[in-house]
Amino acid sequence: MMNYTKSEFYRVFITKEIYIAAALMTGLVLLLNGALHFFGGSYANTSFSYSNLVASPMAFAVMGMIIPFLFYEGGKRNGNLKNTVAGGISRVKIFAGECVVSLAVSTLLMATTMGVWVFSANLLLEKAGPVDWKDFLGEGAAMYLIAGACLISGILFLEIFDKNITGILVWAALWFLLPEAFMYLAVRFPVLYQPAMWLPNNFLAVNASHVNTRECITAWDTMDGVIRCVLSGLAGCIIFGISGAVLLKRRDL
Amino acid sequence: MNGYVMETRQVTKTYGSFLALDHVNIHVRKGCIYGLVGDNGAGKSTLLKLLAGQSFPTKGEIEILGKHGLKDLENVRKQMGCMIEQPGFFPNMTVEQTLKYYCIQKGIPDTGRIVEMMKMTGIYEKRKSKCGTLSLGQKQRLGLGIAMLGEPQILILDEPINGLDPSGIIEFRNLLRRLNEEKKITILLSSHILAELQQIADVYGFLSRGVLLEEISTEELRERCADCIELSLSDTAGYCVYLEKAFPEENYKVLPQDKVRIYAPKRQGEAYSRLAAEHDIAIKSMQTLQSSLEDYYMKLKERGAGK
Repeated sequence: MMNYTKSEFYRVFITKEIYIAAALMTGLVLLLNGALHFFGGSYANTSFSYSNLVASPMAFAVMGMIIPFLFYEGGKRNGNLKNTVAGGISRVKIFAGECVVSLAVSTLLMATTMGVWVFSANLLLEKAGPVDWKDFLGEGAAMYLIAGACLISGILFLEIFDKNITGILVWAALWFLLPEAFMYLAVRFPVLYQPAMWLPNNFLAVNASHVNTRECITAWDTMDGVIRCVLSGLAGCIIFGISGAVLLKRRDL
Repeated sequence: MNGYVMETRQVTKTYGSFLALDHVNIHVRKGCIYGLVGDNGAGKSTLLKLLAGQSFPTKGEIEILGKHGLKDLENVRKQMGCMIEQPGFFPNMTVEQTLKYYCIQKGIPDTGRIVEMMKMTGIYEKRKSKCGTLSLGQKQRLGLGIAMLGEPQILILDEPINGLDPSGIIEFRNLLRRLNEEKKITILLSSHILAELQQIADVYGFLSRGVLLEEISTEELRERCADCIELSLSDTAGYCVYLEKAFPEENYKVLPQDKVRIYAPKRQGEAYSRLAAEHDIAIKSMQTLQSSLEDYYMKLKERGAGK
């Protein structure tokens, strides 16, 4: 697995996708903070800038799908996996390697983007408002495992389904539509409320909805919220990791 | 290990209700060049994919270098090089980067191996080109380069000469011969260009509609393809008398210019020359007229279909 992971790191860093992704993400951040600085008026403060992400924690989940898509969407089409498998590397090791590389690259991109965000916000905007850099960086830490679970499931669905679009739709249904449906059922059948509130899309939506110009109450402000973030993320990583190992083990290329 | 470096036992592969391979038993001896013969859809690529670990048999067992079972086969495949169907690469990586990528993946230290492979496969000039811009022939060369990176004991090549120009085909054939003779690499290759396969293989496996019709060595093939023996003699009439007496079951025909042609001979050629010598009949020439591998395959297929 080590050799496969090393080779993937080599590939990721010599091809341009990672640099384009980094440029796009930091570019958007600079654009946002620049726009706020020049045209923001009363919103030209760090709190408003940070609140764009703090109020949308599931954006981390979406990034968890975009990164593997960027690096592995062409795997089946290009047929390069055939060479790897024929070289004696098991599908489980390939899956694990893809997860490790995507996770590492995502972490790097997240750290870079958030670093640029905080730096440019502090440089260009007035330090005011309820949302500060600690909420912002705390969100990154709280969402890390959930984003990791989204990423692992993203790789799994891209590998399992022959068409990428099917994988993406199933992924989106699982992370967004299914929790919504569960929540809808929980309204009718209260017994389902507690289980539904362990799904990230639900408990983050309920708890992170108080992020605005006057207050900043996030899901990860309380111990219960932190536990939900960590446990649901961890459970997702384990469930999708094991599912990948089982489902891809004997899969034909 | 029983002398075979690769063996399949009753290997069956189905895709839904479609039977792609039906209880196939192939036996590849160490150091041989095994030619897999079959039409499109005969199951050649399916079989090679199973051997390369790209898909799994529905039933049956695969043994490579004495190992079987999922884990052992994965390990043993590190000693194999494969190029199945169209070689796959990352289109945005150069030839050199691609070889480096697989070097890292196979844990091979790059001590000139990449340059050696590029030169060996004739793709050195294209080392800075992106894989996405390569022609099919160049991709085949790069595919072979990747397969050869780990100095494999076994090479599996599916239609390797597809897309190569005539001089490329000759180079490729010579390269495979060299690898087989000098490095003792066992080669299993498939091709639908049977004339090309006939020039290189020493064992053939004939596949048709997922069934392995026959496995046969070049010597056996030569014997079986010997459709007739043609003798040019000093005394044709006399020879025919002795021939009828000695081998009454033989079917022969007298041709102009003192020639006798024995159809579907039941004996080795020397039996007929000995008969002439025993009766002081001089043989001016003797030749075995053979049908091609193509003809043989077609006959085999007809027989297989008739069963």
